[in-house]
Amino acid sequence: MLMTRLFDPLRKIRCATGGYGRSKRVTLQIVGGALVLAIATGANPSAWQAATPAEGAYVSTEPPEVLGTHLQRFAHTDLFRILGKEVESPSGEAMGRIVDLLVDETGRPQAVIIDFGGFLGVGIRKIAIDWHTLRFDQNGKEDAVVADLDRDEIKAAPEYKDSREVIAIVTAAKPKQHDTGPDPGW
Amino acid sequence: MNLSHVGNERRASASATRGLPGLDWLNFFVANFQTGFGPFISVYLTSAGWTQGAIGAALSTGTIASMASQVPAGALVDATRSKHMAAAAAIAAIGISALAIGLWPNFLAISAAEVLHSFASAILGPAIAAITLVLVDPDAFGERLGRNARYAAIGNAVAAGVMGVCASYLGDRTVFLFAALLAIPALMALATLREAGSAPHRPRLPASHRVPARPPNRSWHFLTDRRLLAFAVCSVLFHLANAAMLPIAAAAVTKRAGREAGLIIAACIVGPQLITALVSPWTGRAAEAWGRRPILLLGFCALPIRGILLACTTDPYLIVAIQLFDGLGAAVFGVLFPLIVADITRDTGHYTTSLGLGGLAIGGGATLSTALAGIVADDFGVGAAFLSLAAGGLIATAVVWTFMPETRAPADG
Repeated sequence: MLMTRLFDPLRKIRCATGGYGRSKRVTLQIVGGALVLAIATGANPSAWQAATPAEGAYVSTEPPEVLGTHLQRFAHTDLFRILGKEVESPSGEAMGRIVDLLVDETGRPQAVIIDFGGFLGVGIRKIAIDWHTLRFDQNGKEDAVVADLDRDEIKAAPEYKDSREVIAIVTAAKPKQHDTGPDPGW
Repeated sequence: MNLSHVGNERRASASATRGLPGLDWLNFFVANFQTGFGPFISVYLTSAGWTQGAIGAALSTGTIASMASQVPAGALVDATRSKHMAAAAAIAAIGISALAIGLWPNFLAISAAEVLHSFASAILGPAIAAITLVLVDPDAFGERLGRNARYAAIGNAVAAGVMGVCASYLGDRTVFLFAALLAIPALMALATLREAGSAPHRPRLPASHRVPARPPNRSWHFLTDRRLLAFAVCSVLFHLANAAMLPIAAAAVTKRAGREAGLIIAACIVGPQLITALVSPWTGRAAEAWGRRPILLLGFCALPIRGILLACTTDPYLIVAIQLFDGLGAAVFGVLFPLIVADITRDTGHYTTSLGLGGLAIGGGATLSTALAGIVADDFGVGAAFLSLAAGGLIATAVVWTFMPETRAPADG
């Protein structure tokens, strides 16, 4: 049960993000502009349909083999871990590995934290990236996750710190069409 | 006395300048295979899917083990009859821990490898210093330490390059397998040294040139030597001001520079090593000729200058240039640390124990440095962090000026 609760949203997001129109236009902006959005803005509910099993989401639901344990089975290519996965720009440039995942109070992923930059571990900056800019349609097992951002949009963002009161996450320059929250105004 | 003195002079002139290629290579390979154990471990564990908490726990285990083992390891080397055996065991242990890290990235293996590596490193540094002390005449010790530091710096520079390439093209794991492999040439260099150096000559060494297998004097009075305490305080302050500069400067480069950021940071790491390689032998000679104090002051002065300059610029290429001052500081400290400790404790039988104490001071200063400067950088910005480090460097220089006496033995007839 825990497993499904953990991974179903992942599965969902893979389906949902696949459909996003990618804004290919990359507008260079200075930090603090629309690039960086306070995470406080509410999650968008429409991206999260009710928990109906997506087509082909799992291979089978069998009767419990172990007393009281309900199992849902997935092909090993259908689920994958995201910690340690490389995030790439649309042009295929490696930007950093995912080191953590931030969820909101309902448990929905809002951002991943990546180890950005550096050489042999020196000069790394931890930067939070909007979950909704990530695309997982590359067949996750082998390939990296693609973010609709490029290096220059990420490099100057404030470093992620647990202790900060406001967590700033890097998001795509244009608000997605489904953003219903108030206009950030900056 | 006469006979052995002649023997010493001949050996010293031969060994300090040209001879002892085994010692050159030993320093080269040891620096080489120690390089991968830095901040890169956390990159590697991240790519293995570790959580931040687990990485922090494993690395903290290593840090604590390293601090805790400095003094006991130094005492162990003092008590060991064969410093070669101690060094060989340490090299083998470090090779094994590199292999373990590369092969089994699970929590138990990594933590164990971190502890093993910490303890072995705490043995290896003092053991190499002790081996050097035995091999060369006291008058040539400074110059020989300069050569040690030169080859160590070249080893560091080469390793940073090779491991950077390994990490980018062959995968993170190969960095550790490569490091483990380098234990073999390190051991070979050590083995050649045993034949060339100690065995035939050692019996002829006068007592004052030898690191006694057992302390002739079991008292711990050396601990109350004010020179040693002053130097320990200077060591803490030096690393308190020094250790955080590179990581903060490198993070600033990541923030400012584009695709070339990785290369610029690599230059920030390799450039100073090349300066160290150039300057170290001169440092050793100058410390013998002019005394330790002026050279020590010169090296400490580089800290506030570097801190202020780094605070003044955000240009990545200027940062590379300013980082070259790091090479000067590293050369001076790298040569004078074992030299000054030898001046003070050479005859006490506690040389490597004292090096361990110094290592504890260095580790404490460095750990505090990154923690404190990180907090300042978060709350007040990178410029403020560099200025604080510069202030620390200024204080360190003032402390050297005020409290650190000359330790070079007065020239005698």
